[in-house]
Amino acid sequence: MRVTFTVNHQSHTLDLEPRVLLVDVLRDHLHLTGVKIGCDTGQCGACVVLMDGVSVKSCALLGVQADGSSITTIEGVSEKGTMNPLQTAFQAAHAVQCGFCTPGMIMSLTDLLARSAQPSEAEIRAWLAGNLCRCTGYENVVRAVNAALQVAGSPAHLVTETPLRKFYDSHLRAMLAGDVDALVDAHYSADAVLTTFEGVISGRDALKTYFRDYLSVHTDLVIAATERFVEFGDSIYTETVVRSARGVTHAYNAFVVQDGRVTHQFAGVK
Amino acid sequence: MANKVFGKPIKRKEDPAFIQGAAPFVADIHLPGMAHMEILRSPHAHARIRSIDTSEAAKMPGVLKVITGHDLVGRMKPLPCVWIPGGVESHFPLHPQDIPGAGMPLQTDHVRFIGDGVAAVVAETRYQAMDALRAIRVDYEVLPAVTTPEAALAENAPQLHDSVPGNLNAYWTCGDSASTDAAIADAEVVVELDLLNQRTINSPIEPRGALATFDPVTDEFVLYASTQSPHNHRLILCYYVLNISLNKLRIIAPNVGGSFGTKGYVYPDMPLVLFMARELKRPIKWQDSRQGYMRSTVQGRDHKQRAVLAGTRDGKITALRCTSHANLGAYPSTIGPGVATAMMGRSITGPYAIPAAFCEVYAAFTNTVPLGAQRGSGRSEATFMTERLVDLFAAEIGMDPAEVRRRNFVQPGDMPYDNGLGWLYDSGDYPELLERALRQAGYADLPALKEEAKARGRRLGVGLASFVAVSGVGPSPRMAKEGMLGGTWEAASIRCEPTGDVVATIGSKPHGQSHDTVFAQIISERLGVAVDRISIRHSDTMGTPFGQGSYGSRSFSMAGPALYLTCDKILQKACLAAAHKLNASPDEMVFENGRFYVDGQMDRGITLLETTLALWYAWDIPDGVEPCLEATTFWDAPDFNYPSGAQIALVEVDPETGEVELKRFIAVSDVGVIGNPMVMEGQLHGGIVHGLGQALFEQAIYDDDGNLISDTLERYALPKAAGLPHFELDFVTSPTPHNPLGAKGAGEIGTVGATAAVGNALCDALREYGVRHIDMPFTPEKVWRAIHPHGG
Repeated sequence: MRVTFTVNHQSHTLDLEPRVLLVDVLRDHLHLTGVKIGCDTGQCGACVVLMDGVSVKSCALLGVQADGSSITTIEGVSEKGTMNPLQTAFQAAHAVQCGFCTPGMIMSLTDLLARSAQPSEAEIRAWLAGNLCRCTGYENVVRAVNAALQVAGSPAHLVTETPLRKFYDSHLRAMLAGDVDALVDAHYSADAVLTTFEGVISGRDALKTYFRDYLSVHTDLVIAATERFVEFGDSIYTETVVRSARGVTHAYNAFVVQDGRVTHQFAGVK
Repeated sequence: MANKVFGKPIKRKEDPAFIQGAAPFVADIHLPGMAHMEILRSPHAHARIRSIDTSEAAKMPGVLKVITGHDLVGRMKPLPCVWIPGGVESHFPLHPQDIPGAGMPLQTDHVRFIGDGVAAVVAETRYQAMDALRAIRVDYEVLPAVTTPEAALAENAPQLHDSVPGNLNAYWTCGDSASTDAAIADAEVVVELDLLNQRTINSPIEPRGALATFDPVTDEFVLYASTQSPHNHRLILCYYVLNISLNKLRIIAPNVGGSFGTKGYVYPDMPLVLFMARELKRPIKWQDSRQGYMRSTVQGRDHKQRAVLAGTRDGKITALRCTSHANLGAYPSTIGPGVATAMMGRSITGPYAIPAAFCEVYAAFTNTVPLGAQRGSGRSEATFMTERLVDLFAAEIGMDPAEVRRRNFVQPGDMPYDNGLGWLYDSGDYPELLERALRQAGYADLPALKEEAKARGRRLGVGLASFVAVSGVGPSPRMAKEGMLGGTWEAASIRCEPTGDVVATIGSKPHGQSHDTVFAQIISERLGVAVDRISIRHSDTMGTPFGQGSYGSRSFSMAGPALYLTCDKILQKACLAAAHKLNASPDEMVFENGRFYVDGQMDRGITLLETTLALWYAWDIPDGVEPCLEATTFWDAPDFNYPSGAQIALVEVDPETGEVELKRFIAVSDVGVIGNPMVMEGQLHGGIVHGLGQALFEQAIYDDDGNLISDTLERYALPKAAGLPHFELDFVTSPTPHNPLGAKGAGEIGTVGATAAVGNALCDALREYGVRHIDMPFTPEKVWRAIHPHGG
């Protein structure tokens, strides 16, 4: 069966045998081996991922059930090797011994902390009923969560939740929806400048004209994958695989984002 | 020292990779051209194989090879058992090298437990290999099965091995039977107890896996395996199973997701993937499922004990006797027989000075999964039995259980103390451990709390457990006397690099113990090098010196001293070079904060890095000193070490439902010198919960036909986060004289006392109902039935 879904912000279209488990798709097809298999029967929680933001056991789902969904694995949690406050607390509190259950724990707790800003210890322990750990006795896991809760903001944020990542996703959605007015008005400052090989476009009206022309040529536009997404200060660097009636290209873009709007964009295409 | 880190709770260096899902385990390794192996296991606990038809399976999509046991005859030898406890009588299945055998990787005519392998398939994908397993037709003649040692030893019992008459693996004893019996006959008070220390399943969260490659040009194999003893398993596989040179097999044990004893064994899948890799000239991967793990990987405990304790009316224990039937399962696992005998039998006197003691073990083969070690193995079974008896004795003479313990402890001044059963305790303060635990518990106030609980319709119980847990396997000559085939020493190398980094290689291998960090702390302390410049290499037989691996709480107290002593050698050599550079005598040199200087002249010095460079370039080094700053130590301890502890559990029972709630758990431990207290506490937390799991939830259940009923985590209950209290930990430090670190084993002591503390607490809570003993696990149903012996 042909299945399309997003994993850690990359879109994938796969031909899957209907019987193949989601965890095997993630591990064997996409090589996301941070997702672990501990029990095959939905008890241990080593395979927990987020599906549309909700923690699920990927050994208890078929790959085809992920069609149309957006999945986040442990690989989608850390950015550039930087751990979020929950992960940092796991290290500081010695909540990891053999490390096998850890990715599932992090994903499960990420869901908990998204639902509840200040869960009680009993709530934390009850939530972890679906995550077995044989090394730590859970004591330091609970301590780590409590320590993370002292951190302001979202201690278990995902890569998807950084402000620039959210901005970029919103930009992408507007682009794919073909809504040029929304794209430009909501995402570009009044005097934004777009530099392309074809010239320099500045101001919202010029940008709208540019994007309308672009979309009229690149019909059936699909962003097949975001190959690279790097944040640096107020800048984003992206490499996307763009599929359209004109064929497949790799698009490189750099955005400077200030006050939630693009002020400068540099576009290049391979 | 400015950068003093030894003994400090520093964060683990290994953590970021785990926390980000970037640390590979065997299952995570994908090699180009890799094919997948699956093993067909017997569905019957005991059967003759009449025939096997693999023809349909061989035609299935993607299938590359199907083999049965017949294809292995003459191509490999049976797995060996390398721990032969001997004793009065001992019988094993055969191995051609005149040592005990543990069965062929695949059976040809006789299967003896539900995990016994009968065929193996290799296919392009794992799903295809599993499909092909279903197409293999095996014609079995089902035989009667036997699942308990007592039944196995009975006359006319089904027989498992031709070379093992009556299914008796060993009749093993320790201590003095005659004096013990005499003391019991003369005693004022005698208490007896029959108990089952139930079979458990270790259940690390990572099941086992093995992945082999073969290079036809060099005839060399690489095996990636979830093993806690890569060096030892390499030797066993090469010498006893595959008949190849040791240097033709490299074992890499990547990150291992917990073990608790089970991954210290050579399993059939290991030689099978190696065999298939050579046959097919492709990387071959086998990855077990949870159910597969439960049906084929060694299980723990399983002693049926009949015990007698004798004493005086004023609380002095005069004799202790135990007869145990140990259930070895269908085959002797790599080191299983030693676990079932010596580790339990020699430990029964615990921390007490008991004038007469004797233990005998009948170890029998049954149609169950082979037995192996489980965290605290032997010592936990001994402690549960003895500590339950001590409480029964206290009740019998009407004395407080704490007071009975006080009157019988081996005293610190008695060290070294010979327990009469084979252990020579090194150091410890058993009275102090208990007193501290009692103070922490507020022991004197507990009767009031019991009344308060009763007023709420609940029953509060308090349980004490004092114990000694032999650790640090071990002194090789001593282990040889115990029947261990192979040296149990450890080795370590340290190389100081000209960039200022230090690389240490060790034979020991972690599976959660924090080697990368704690061993770096030892080196940092000795050499004055920052922890983040120290790299600890392990888990790959290429490039690391031999070591037995991590089990029996031995890494820190065996590999640790090897590193410590290697630092001595590094400093001795560096001192010669430094003195030469400073035109001073080596006798005048002082080493402090990573720098040598001439005694009394702080400014006349040279750093270790400068010394390393001097030895690296070797342009101007003393006569007789070799270039490069590198050293190796092979360390064999003079004797075991003996960590000890006192634990107290407070449980509350709901008599209406039989539910047992653990209210508090106090553990005061003596592990000698501690390298990293944060890691130490983590070891205790995990160890305690391992014991709580056995006490409250876990049991491997076989039906009479030998089917394992509890073969998934749906049917085998592991402890969860909910319902556990915070653990109250404290430490007493009695360094062991048996290694230069003064460190004792710590990985298991949390477990060793926990079952006894909870068992004693439960029976204390149920005292008014006349409940003398309940076998573990203390499930609500069992507790309720004990309270309501005649039903509701």
